[in-house]
Amino acid sequence: MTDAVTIQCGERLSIEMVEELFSRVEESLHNSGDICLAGNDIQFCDTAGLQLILSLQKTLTKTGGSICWQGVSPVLTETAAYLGLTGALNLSEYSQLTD
Amino acid sequence: MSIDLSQFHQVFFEESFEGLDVMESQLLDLTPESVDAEAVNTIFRAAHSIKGGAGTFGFMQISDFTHVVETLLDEIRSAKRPMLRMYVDLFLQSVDCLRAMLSSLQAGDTPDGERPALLKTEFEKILAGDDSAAPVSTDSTVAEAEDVSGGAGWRIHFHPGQDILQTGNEPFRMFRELQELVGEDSLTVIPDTSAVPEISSLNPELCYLNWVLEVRKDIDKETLASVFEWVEDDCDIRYEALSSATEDADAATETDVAAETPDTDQPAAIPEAVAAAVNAAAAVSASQAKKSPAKNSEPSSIRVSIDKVDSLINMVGELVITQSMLGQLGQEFDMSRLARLQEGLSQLEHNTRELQESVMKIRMMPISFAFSRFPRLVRDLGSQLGKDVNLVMLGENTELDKTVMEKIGDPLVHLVRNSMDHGLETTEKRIAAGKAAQGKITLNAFHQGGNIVIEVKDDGAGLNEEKILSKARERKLVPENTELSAEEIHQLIFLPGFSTSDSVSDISGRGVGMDVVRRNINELNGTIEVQSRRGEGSTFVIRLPLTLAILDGQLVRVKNETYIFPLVSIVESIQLQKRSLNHITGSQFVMKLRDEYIPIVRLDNLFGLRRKEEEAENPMLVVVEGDNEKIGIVVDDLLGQQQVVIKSLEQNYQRVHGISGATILGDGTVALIIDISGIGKTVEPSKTTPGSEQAA
Repeated sequence: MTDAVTIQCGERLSIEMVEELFSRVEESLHNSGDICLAGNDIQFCDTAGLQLILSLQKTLTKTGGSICWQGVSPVLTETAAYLGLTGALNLSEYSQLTD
Repeated sequence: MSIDLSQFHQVFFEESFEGLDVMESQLLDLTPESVDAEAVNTIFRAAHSIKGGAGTFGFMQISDFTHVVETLLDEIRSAKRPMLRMYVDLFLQSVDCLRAMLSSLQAGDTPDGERPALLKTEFEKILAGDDSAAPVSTDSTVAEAEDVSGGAGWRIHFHPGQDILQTGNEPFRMFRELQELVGEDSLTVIPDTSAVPEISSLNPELCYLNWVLEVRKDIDKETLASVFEWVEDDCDIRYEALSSATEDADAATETDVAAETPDTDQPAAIPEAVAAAVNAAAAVSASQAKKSPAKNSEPSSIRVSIDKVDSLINMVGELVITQSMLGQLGQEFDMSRLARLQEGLSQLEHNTRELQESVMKIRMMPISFAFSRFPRLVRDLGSQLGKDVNLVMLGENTELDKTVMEKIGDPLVHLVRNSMDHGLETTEKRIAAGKAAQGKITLNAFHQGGNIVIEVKDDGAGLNEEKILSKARERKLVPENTELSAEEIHQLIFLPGFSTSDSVSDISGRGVGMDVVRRNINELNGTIEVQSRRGEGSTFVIRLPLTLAILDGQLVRVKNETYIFPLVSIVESIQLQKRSLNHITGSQFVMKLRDEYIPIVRLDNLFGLRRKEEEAENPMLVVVEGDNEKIGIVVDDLLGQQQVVIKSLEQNYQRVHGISGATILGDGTVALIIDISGIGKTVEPSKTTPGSEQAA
């Protein structure tokens, strides 16, 4: 295991991109126990995108790792709030900042 | 000696589903004021057969329920009572209920007993002479609601089907609409994340989440249900009226509720009632998860007309004769018989081709199987929306592959729903615009150039080009100073994320993404385009291959490998001018092709084939289009075009990114088939938008 790997979420964290992000996440899991997600560029996200992050979080929690956010966009916090996932995705502090 | 009856279950289910289709179509055609006696007889016979079969196989829930349906039908056909509109509605609900029960049994599950019990009570009331019994609302969306007003509010248990995300019905849009409807302070969204698997078991396009939505506002159920109307057939939605007592109990613990942090690892933080609901959701989810494999493993079958089987037998007979002739020729062969050998081989090729065509025909089914759901859909949606709509179906006998048919159903439903809701105007608006009060939707299917073409046409308001363009500019999908033709503007509705509730095209709207419709069609190697005239209506034209088993392919060479591009995806092929390439970042290049920049992908790099000393002297650029994005793919040489038989890579090896399948060429080598959409995803989206490329 090495230091935390940073994954760029890009501009779209949505169903048409999840396959590609899924591959990158799988690859990163082999290399690191902790993963940081750069979500500041996200212009659109949906349930599939956020569900992938939930799954990643579940996987890391089991192996003692964790995820952290390196910046989040207002769209990300807003969509997570609509789905009731703010807490589950550790976005509460960012949610308050962008409110 | 006892017979294992389970071997006949599949046939029973198939025949019963066919019987229900017959019942439904006859009921939809019934006019209670002038009932056709033969139609009632047909409905009765179908119900009677289902009851008899169910009794034989021990499916007593089905036979008991069908018994009361049959009894009422018998009284109507023997003129003991007239056919009433409310009876038609009740019979249609019974058809839905029987379909759900049969589906559960077919999946090896126990059918839900509540819905049939409610309906059975209504039948019994009618049979006992109480005609005041109104058709019950046993739809899954309202099954458990006892109070239509919901004075204290509602608790909505929303368990979406696993494929909801793939069909474009995005939960966050529905919840956003719900929030707009009731106000932010009146809505609590409580997700259940317990069914989300770890990465290794995750299919990222399936939905594993369930929700409990608490609406604390006096609002009627129908208004709430309208938010979920697109998904009610594909989801399990229960509405539970909140009583004041429930509300008080919840309020007492409300301060403990982490409304947006309902991590299921912390059940103590959730009120008991909600926790119970969440647990129930998890149980339903688990039961669905258990049920799915059983359903998937259910052997599907098709009914084949005897003509097709006879034709196949004839072909095999011809093949056996040719094989016998060649065998004899081989035993006594000398050069004087060379001509006969060549003739025999030619005959063998002819027989093989005909046999292949005959076998393919077995999988072909009339598109009426896919169209049959629409009369009911249009009837129900029409009455919900208060729109009078005439559905016209043409070309119902046009045949296409069973697999294609199964996969085109959902996109067609989306298109028809969109046309009903957003395409067709209200009666008042139609009359004001000088149109017929009744709207018209036409479904038309026909063969054209080796493809099947399906048109979904409405005579509604057409696309509002100004608003679409304005929305696209607002979202920076189109640069401010770019002028687009009407056709180019129409294509914008297929862009991902464009179709949202606040987008203002006349056919898009709440939660239904036209991009997902297009993606589903692209996955079938098909295309969709829209033609629209303001005030006159819109036509969506879908072109699909007749079968998924065979593909028209362009063979290309990259180093020593042969790859196949689906011919339908190729826009053009040109000689690559290396000086016209522009470097963007890393190894990413773009090329200006006429008025647009297209990203360049090197297959040799992508698949790790590149060796510098083997650079092709005159590489070719194949310009392909997938997901509405053009990409230039560099190859060493273009080979021939041919039809290839597609073999699944996933079933025979494993899933490989950028590859959709494989085939075996005439020389016995394996060639991989390129997944154009998959290759497109390797290019960063920011590099495919004109603005960013020009900026670069």
